[in-house]
Formats: sequence, structure tokens, C-alpha cells
Amino acid sequence: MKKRIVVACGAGLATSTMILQKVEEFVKELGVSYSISQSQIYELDFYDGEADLFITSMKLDQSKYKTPIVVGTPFLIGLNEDVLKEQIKQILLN
Amino acid sequence: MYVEENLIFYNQRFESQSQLFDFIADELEEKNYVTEQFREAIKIREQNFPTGLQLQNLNVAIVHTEVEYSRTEKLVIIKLEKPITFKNIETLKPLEVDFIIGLILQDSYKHLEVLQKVSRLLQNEEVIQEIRQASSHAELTILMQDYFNKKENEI
Repeated sequence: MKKRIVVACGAGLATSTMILQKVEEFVKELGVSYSISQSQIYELDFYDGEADLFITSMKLDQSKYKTPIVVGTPFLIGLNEDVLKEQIKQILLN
Repeated sequence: MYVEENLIFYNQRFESQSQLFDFIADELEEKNYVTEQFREAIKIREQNFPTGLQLQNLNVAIVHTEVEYSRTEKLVIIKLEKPITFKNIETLKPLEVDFIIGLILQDSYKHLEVLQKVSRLLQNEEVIQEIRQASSHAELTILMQDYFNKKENEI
């Protein structure tokens, strides 16, 4: 089964684009078969429950979503990337 | 060119976020780079989706709007004389920001390249250090033009 990943930010254009590239790099490394798309945060409802992972630019209230959410900011600024990668790995490999 | 000398500002002083956005809107409207709605849009967007980033040695806000308010693709660079309070994109807590990067983007494939460069800049300790040390408009301009106008493989 392909894992479906959605990377989202406010406008769905700047921050998510910067994060997306690094997410792809890492997921390829993991050897997971995946599909990835980019969206605006307010569109996430549409993918909720369907996608396997949301990676967002800002913190969202997990209790409002069925799909697991991680904050992708470490990929943007290069700090604490390892923690984020571990989280993504846990979600996608389970 | 994304980086224009007259869209780089050194030691600019603002008392509030709203004053900063008005300044950016004035500059961009005058050059006809944005629509009239840009001014409101950038303020509202920052409220709903904060863009403050806490780097190791510099706090940066990457302010931008949806593409429909842009008429071109440019960067606005502002080194602030004194910090302005933004919100941290990640935690939504207040963050004192020293450096502003304004993204004026259109919905084209082109903007990928500049976003990649911005993203690399945020992670480039050396350039961040140089930004912190830049002590005149000329210095900041040369630094930014050098960085953003370089070819991809030279970074």
C-alpha cells in the first residue's frame, strides 16, 4: 500500500514547498512507497482519515484530526531534524 | 532578478507589525509589484498563519500572501533596527524577530528555485552570521545579491 502524505502550510505555496523536498528525500531513503501532495491547512479536512500522514508548518490540534500530524519546521530550519525523521518513520512504517 | 537593491532595507525601525506591513505594502504598491489588496492580505495571513522562525542565531519572519496579490516575483529583505514581535510558526508563541524576508510570489514553476534558496539560507550558518554582522545597506545588499543571484550549483 502506498503511504499518502500531505504537506500543508497557510497558503499552500511557500513553507510547504520548502518542507516537501526534504520530506521526499527522507521517505525515499526509508524505501517506503508513497504519494505526496501539497495543500493549504484549511483543506486538510478533505484529506483527513484518507491520508497516512500530515506534515504541517504549524502546530495543529491533533484531537481534531484522524490522520497523524507532525510539525515539519525542523526541515525548514535544519534544527532537530532527527527527532522529526524518527516520528515520520514511526508513523509510516507502522 | 529576485533581489533588487531598493527592496533591501537596513536598520529600518518599526513600532509594530502593522507598521512594518504598511511599509512593505507602500514600497511594493509604488513599484506596481502588488495589487491594492496585498496590504490587508499580508496582515491577515500573518495573523492566521504566523511565519516566525527561530533559527540558532537569528529570528526570521518569512512574510507572504497568496499568489493572487502579486504581480511579479521578488524578495523584500529587511534587517530591523529593533525586533518586532511575531509568532513562532511552530509553537505559535511570541517571537522577537530581527530579520524579515518578504516573498512576493506568483503561481509559477519559477518560485521553486527561490524557495529552495531561502530554505538553504535558513540552514546556512555562515550566511546567517554574515547577515547578523552586516553593518550597512551596501553590505547587506551585496551579501543578499551574491547569495540569491548565484547559480544553483555555487551555493
